[in-house]
Amino acid sequence: MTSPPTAAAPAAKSPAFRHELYPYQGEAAFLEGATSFVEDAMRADETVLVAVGSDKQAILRDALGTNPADRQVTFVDTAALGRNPGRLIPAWQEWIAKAVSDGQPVRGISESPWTTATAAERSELRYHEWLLNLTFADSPAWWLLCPYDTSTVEAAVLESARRCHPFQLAEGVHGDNSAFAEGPFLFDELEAPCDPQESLSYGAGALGAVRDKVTACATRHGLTGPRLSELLVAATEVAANSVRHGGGWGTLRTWVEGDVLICQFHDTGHIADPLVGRSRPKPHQLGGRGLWLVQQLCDLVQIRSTAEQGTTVRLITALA
Amino acid sequence: MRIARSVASLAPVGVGDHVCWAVPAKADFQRAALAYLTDGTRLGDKIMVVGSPSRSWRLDLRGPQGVLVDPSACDVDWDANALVSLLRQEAEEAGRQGFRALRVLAHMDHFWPAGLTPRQVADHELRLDAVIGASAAMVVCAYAGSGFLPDVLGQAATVHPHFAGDRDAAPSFQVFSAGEDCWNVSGVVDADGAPAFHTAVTELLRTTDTLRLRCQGLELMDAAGMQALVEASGAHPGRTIMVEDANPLVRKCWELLGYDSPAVPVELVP
Repeated sequence: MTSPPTAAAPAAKSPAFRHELYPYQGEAAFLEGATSFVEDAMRADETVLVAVGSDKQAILRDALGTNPADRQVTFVDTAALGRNPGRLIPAWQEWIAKAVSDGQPVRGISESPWTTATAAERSELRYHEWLLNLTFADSPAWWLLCPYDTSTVEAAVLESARRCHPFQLAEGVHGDNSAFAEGPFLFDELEAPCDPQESLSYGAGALGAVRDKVTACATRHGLTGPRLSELLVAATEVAANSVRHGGGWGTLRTWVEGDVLICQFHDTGHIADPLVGRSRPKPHQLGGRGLWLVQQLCDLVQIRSTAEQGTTVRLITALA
Repeated sequence: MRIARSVASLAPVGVGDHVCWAVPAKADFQRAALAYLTDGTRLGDKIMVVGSPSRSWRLDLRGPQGVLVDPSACDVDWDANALVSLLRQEAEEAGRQGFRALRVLAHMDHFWPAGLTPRQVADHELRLDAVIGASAAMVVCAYAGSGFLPDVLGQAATVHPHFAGDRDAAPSFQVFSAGEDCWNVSGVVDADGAPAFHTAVTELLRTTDTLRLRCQGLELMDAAGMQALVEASGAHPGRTIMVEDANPLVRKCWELLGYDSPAVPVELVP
């Protein structure tokens, strides 16, 4: 096994945001890479934010022990954000903004729950990794290390990670990642709907009908109360976007697949901004709030949008 | 306490009600209007008709038990203020005369001028509602679909606590009086209704420094509805909106959208 690296200084022409992949195998390798990253930060008097699962948190806390790192290392609670990767970017923006405002350089460690995520969640987690480069392109400098356990993460996920991390930690050395590829994100195809092809066409004045259709399907499958109410707000936002930005009308299909309810909206509009809905709106900002609210209220949101094929938005709600 | 209601017919109209009646076909209208008025004579109400009554109705609207107001036959200028004043005056007079209540049928197409805007409708109907809510009166405002633009009809339905007509034409939300400078908001305020909501709130804010919106009956408000509320407050700098009794969902959305800021003159209070 390769010894943990001593962090090399980033290349002279590094962007402000250093997004670094750390492929490792097994818990010990995770610890070696993570602890050396944290200890380097401490020596440089930098702040470290750690967003990993509770099991990794525990072993990392043990490895770091009680030392001055207590003041410099913050374990952030990603579980409180829920399972929707659409909420991670604003959370990182807030954590980084707070750390930067304290006047210290920042590093982060982020490991997503690849082994427990559903296929749809893994797809959105991969997209989240790609969006990080875009989000922090012009941000204050910070360094994010993304560990991937190659013994448990599926090959397609790892391949996607290699394409969207400009840097990597390999063989104990922090360096460029030759597999990094700039360009559009390659989405997974959405699974085909498994409803009986019943769709509702909606336009201006039909937001109530949209809510009625969602309510009918949700209550048939036991989804009621506050979680249904939140889904209805989200459905209203997406349908209203179709009316306002998506050609004036759209179609809604609802179905249950396994233990989730899926509401799919389609219209002819095109969402050009990949970061739409991923930043907390300002109080006097005009527009741009709908998809933000949707991301905050839903268990998972999948958006596929091209100028040629229009926009499909799926709102996924756990029934359990 | 007044509760919002949307029903198909005029049958349940009672004292304190202010109904937006989406007028049906002519024969149905004549039958329903006559039933509403004759119910009043049976129950000891004073009857007031604004507009022209049907000749077949055989109602006495000239004596002490009736009032006929035909704006088209008046020599003087007739406007919203005149109707609000007349209603207040006639309701008080009916009480003094020993009637149970003042029962009004207003043909709004006889009353409104050409080129009517949603803002004028909101201003008038909300002021009328404040009078009705505080007096022994019931008013049915008959809006014939052929006489008004769709946005005017849509606005009218949202500024009455009660609606009678086809379910498809029922408003998704209703704003109505809950006392002095205090208004109930009921139903769902979404992107479809946001322009009408903005108009209603903007009109209410014209005459008060602090507008109280009581929201026990508000089920849901989306981002467009909340933006309409904030923009309405911005139209009257220095004035404040207090949103009372909003449900947890509305509160959560409000905070998620970043409106719980001192820079926003709208405050959610218990």
